[in-house]
Amino acid sequence: MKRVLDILRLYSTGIRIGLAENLAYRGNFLIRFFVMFLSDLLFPLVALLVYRSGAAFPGWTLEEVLLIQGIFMMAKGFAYLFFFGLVWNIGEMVRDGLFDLMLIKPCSVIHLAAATSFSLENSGSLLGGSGIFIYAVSKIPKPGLWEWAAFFLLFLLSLSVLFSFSLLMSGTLFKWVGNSRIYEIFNTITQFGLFPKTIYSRAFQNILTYLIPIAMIAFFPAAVLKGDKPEGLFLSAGICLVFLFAARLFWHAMLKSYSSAGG
Amino acid sequence: MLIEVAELKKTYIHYERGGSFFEAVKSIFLRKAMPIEALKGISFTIEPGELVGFLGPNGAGKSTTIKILTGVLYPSSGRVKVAGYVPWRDRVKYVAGIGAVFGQKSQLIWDIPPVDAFLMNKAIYRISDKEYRTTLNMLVSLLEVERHIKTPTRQLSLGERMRCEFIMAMLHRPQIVFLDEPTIGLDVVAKEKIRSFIKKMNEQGVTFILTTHDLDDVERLARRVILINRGELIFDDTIGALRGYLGKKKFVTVRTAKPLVTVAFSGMRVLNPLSEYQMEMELDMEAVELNAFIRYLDEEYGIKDLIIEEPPIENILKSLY
Repeated sequence: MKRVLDILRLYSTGIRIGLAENLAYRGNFLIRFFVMFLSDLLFPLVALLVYRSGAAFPGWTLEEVLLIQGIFMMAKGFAYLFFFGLVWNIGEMVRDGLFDLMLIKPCSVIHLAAATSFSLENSGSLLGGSGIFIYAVSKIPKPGLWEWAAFFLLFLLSLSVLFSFSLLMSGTLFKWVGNSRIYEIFNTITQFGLFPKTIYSRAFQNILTYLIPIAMIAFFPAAVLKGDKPEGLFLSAGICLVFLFAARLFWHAMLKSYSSAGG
Repeated sequence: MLIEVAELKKTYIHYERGGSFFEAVKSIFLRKAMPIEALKGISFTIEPGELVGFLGPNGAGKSTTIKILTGVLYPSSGRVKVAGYVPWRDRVKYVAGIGAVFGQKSQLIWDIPPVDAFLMNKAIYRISDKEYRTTLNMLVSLLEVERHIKTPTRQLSLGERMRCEFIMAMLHRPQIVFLDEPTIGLDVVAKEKIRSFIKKMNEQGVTFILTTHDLDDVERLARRVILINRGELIFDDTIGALRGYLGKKKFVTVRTAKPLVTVAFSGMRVLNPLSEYQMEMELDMEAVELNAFIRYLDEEYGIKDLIIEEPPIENILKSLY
């Protein structure tokens, strides 16, 4: 319990400091906020175009696809706001030799790196995603209490998948210093989660469900919310926890290879 | 014993790559690993309350040693115990009791005032409100930064910033503090303020390990000096012993009424003829009688000004490196 309180105190201080930093440059803050907000609307617009042209994702209405995309954007927005910054924070610090300063603090380096990277500019995705989510939920049959409970549980697993990705990505930066393309790799892989997994081939669906649980980012939470019982849900939930555990192990193993920068 | 280092070794693996386009392409597929021995088995101990100068030329292994002592790096082999902890193994518990100031790595946050950045350390070290206020007031007053802690860091001078770095590093009242070039780039006034702060904290029992190239820092602060070169420990003794390393020598600067062209005295060596009437010399005090030498200079050339000093410590270091 004490450990949880310490972590919460760390995050609340990080958020306070992050806000103070953001507000030092208000113009930059507003521009980045709107850029993030608008750029994330691209995929819902593509879905809209597909359905307007008469085509469709088999078995999914436009609102149901928007539900997946809204959840995807909310999960990513939440991650970008609260913990994904640890990737660029660690990346920059390792390259500049400042990561040493993190290692001399008596707390979890992962939480410290995440807490000190809070940036309100990234809330654009979360707001945009929430808007699409609310619209989509209002257009599908009203979910019951069970559906909402299952959705929140799966949304936590969705965040755990993104947290695992942030650990894998930041872990590679200890060895692969200054790798600026790591976001492109991440975005390319996770974009498969923006659409219903049933549109992919069977083999690829298995990869997205049981190997790299990208389907958990948005597909499973959306499916449960609209009342479906998707195949492979429970096994995939277990895989998410294994994925998180393996990512954490990988991160700590990579940290051992950290060699600092010249003195 | 507070710090115990035994047979400490660290080998880095660097990858060799040529400068040509062909070499660059080749290095994508095939890289030649080059082991670099940064530390070749150094051993030393440090007692509580000491203020030790850790010196050596660039690339000697000083920073590697400090990084291992602070738990930042894993050694290749050897034993280290600091305050009962193995730094890299018990990192979280161990670093709660140490502080560090890196002259070239800031812990402050560029866009916000230092007082806001201090709050991060308050949360990290779980400092109570009362303890935080007491320590902050004490440090702010010692370092004379009452006005500066509320100014955005980017608007502070280097000296003001460095004094705030010390507050950041000492808010949790560490018993061991590692200083890496703490006065780099500072003017004499700022240097003096930092040195006086270090002295006061050391008098209160804080152990300091000072890595620097500024020999004034070492002469004014350290009682003991550890010298390291090419990964090996080459000297570990007091400042006095370091001065005596080249034998009993004095450094003389003289200005005379007559030209010094023919000056010669047994046990005297001309270091630097500054002009016809002014010269720097080195005296071997085991061969020269100082009274006789001064009398000789005055009678032969007419002394107008004379300075006799200990040999500069940098001369001694040059001969050791």
